Amino acid sequence: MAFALFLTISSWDYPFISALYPRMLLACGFVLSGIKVVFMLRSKSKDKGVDRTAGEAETSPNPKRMWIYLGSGILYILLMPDLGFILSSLVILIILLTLFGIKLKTTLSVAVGTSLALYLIFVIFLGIPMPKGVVESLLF
Amino acid sequence: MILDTLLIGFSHFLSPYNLLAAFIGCLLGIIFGALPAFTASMGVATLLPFAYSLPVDTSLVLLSSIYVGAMYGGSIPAILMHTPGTPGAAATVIDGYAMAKKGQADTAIVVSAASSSIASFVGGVFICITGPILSFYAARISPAEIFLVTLLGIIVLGNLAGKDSIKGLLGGIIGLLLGTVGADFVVGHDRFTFGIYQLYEGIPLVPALVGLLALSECFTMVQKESGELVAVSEVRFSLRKILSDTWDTIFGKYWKDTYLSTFIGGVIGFIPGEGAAVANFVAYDQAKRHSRNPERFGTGIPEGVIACEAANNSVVPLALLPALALGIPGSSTAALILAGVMMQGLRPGPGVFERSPDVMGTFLVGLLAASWLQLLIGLLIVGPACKLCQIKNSILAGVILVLAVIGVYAVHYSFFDVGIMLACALLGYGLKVWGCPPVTAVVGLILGPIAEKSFTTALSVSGGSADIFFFRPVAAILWGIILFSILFPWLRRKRKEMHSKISQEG
Repeated sequence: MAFALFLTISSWDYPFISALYPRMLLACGFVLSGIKVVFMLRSKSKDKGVDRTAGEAETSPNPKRMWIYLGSGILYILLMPDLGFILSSLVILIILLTLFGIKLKTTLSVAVGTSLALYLIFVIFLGIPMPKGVVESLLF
Repeated sequence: MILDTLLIGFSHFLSPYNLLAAFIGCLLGIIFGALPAFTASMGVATLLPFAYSLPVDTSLVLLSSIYVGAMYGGSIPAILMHTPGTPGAAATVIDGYAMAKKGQADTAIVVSAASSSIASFVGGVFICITGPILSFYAARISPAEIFLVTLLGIIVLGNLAGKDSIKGLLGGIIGLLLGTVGADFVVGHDRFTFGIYQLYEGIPLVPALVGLLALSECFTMVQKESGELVAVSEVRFSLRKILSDTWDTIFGKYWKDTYLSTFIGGVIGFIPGEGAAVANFVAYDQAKRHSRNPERFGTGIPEGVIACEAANNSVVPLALLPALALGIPGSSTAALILAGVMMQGLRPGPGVFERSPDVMGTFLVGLLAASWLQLLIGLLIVGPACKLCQIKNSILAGVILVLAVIGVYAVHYSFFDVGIMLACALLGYGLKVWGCPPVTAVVGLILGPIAEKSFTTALSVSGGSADIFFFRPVAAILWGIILFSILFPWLRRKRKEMHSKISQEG
């Protein structure tokens, strides 16, 4: 509901024809969110003591690993312009798999194999220019 | 027109690129399907950027072959390891694993591959006939009705994709709102860009889809470490046994089960949102009801495997039919394939067979070819597929991350796109945690621009009057279906409650 409200305020100065369709969607969003809130309040008053929602049921046991995974994705984007795509893929896979507790031998073989396969597919086979980076330009 | 399309398609399909795409698509699909943490939609989402660099017909053949292959691939770990590779193979475990334990793993795999192939083929033939006809008549409907059809697609998917229909619909609205980001197509005013000029053309589709479907799934995947999977037996095939089991499945003693389940899967596949997972169990249940020996189901009989596998594979062509002919995807994988071809300039939906007979013909012939290729490849790679099933979730997720980042970057050579992908992955994960399947947002995002365009066009045609959406015969029928779709989950829940009340009282 807060999200819908924020978007409604953002669309305040749009011309009528540009704003009509998104505002119609936002109105539907408001109505559905309202219905959802009413249902939630009703079901809460019915099952006091049972505090698990459908969403919580799907929450997994180790969210720390999810943040490590997301962080690796961000680090990968930051490293790629400087290291180039082969080296950054190699580095990121080694960091990620080591943090996930995979054996060093497996980690190295997966990292080297994946980087090599990506190079063959994207650069050699498809001819796509991938970021070379400062380090890779010096090396190759 | 149908024959012309097929002949053009056949001549295009015979190019080395398309043949290779069908082969690689089937191979990858079977591997993706066999990996318990990987689904067909994740596979297609991950390969979407790669497919973008191929010609549109080759890309369509590749993606649809992955879809076909993945449906069969899911049965390999279901039979040998008691773990379905895809949700669509969940019921295959019941008789498949029991057969493997009895030492009949080879028969279970062969009947699974044969029934999957014939079901895909029959479904493919059906869409060869009906696809052009459906698309031809759909092209004659007005923008107001196109808007209602897209609305129907979102409502039905929102209802059926999740347990909570309101959350499903809200997911669809989030997707539709994401589709409004950027310049509107009437006056070009930018909306919800917040000063980010890269968003002026809208949220890029490939990064959004890869993030919402593939990476958000990886966020969940890395948190659960996969258990140790061990195959119950080594599978050895003999040519004679393969031929006799294939014959029995297609023409011999199991033919009734094969075609009945193909029909059930096809009907379920055509309904948006009802996918292979539902078809699998419904067909198993029906096969049991129609059997002379229902008590033998669950003890390890080929009929049990055939029912599930024929049903889940016939879902594939029938889920692709509304996606390509009407622009309404029948499943999440179909939605991704639809988005993939849209990005390459093909306009799926009404009239697509008339506009692009070469692409659609190649797709149809490719689908028929993939049906039989999966039988051949499926039997050859059972051993390696079992080995791949033992890969840990973390390794798989790491490889997907690298592949997704590189693939998305390669589409427009833009790191901004990669950032969008990560943001969408977080959004998809958030939706999942909240209890709303991200696929509803994906469908909203894909159908959003079509819905807005038809909505605005219809309003300008009618001079600003909303009557055009109601007072036309086709529109009235569509409103009837929409209302039924909204009330359907509520009616179903009420019926369930009544049944449980009656059984409690009993």
